[in-house]
Amino acid sequence: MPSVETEGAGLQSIVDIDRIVHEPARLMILAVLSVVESADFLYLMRQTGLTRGNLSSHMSKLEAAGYLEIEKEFVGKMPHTLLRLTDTGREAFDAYRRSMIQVLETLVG
Amino acid sequence: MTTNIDLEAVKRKIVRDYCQDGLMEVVFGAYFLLFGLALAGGSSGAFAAFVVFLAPLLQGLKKRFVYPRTGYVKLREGDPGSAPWFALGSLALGLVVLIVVLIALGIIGQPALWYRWMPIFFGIGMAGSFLGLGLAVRMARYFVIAGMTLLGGPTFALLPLPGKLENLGLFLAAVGAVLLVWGLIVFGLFLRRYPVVSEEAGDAVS
Repeated sequence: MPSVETEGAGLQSIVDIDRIVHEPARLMILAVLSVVESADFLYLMRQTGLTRGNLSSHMSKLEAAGYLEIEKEFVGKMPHTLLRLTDTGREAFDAYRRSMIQVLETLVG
Repeated sequence: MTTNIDLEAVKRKIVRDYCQDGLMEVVFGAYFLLFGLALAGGSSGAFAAFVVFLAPLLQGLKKRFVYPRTGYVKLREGDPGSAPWFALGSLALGLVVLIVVLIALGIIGQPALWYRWMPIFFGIGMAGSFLGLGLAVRMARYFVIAGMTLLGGPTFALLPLPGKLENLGLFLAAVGAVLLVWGLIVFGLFLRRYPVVSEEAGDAVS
């Protein structure tokens, strides 16, 4: 049976969870981008099922946090937005996964 | 652990989606068909060098037909997925065993007969590639193609043809024709399933 001190330390990690990553839609975006080199806006819409506005809003938050690099260009007359995870974003996503495993292990016992 | 498994599933889905348009089969099928016919017709094997243009051609076709429909993605180095080395390894082992048997029987060593067995070696190599791809992305059509190339090799090797490379040429042409037709059907279904996204809905980030 774990001691009170150990349990407290385990639960404390819940508070430390990165809330930028923890939001389900952003977590989906990060999960997709974590396994590819880069992807465009349309591809992320297809993969996540998010609407244009929703995806755009979450991407802006991830970019503001420094987790996402957004590259805008024109292909002919069409705007084209290319997205990739930054090193910081990749580290944050990995750290989040480790934290969640730790939290779940603590809660399950 | 569960998180790792889920990420593997995401990765597998992305690679599977990347293969869903059938263009890879179209490009490689057309190449094998033309290369095989050239070989069977006694043309120069220099046509083999055109293999270096297949990847840029595939990318060009994807850019024209696929990315406007499903979006652009660049896969990471090392994809597709975790390589199913056991499948490729077992096929490589089978190839080594086969060569040892052919040497022991004295078949390899006589160039005329050696060429006759080339479809088997090519069949094993192609089956290994398609089996590996099928295991990585879990798409049934790659298993069928792997089985077809594995069985097709010995079948074409046994055809009583006079030329040295006719057996191999016809084998490659047959595999190419099947791949091409299959790829075109899959590509046609893909185009119907995914219409081009309109300019308004296409792209924008606030």
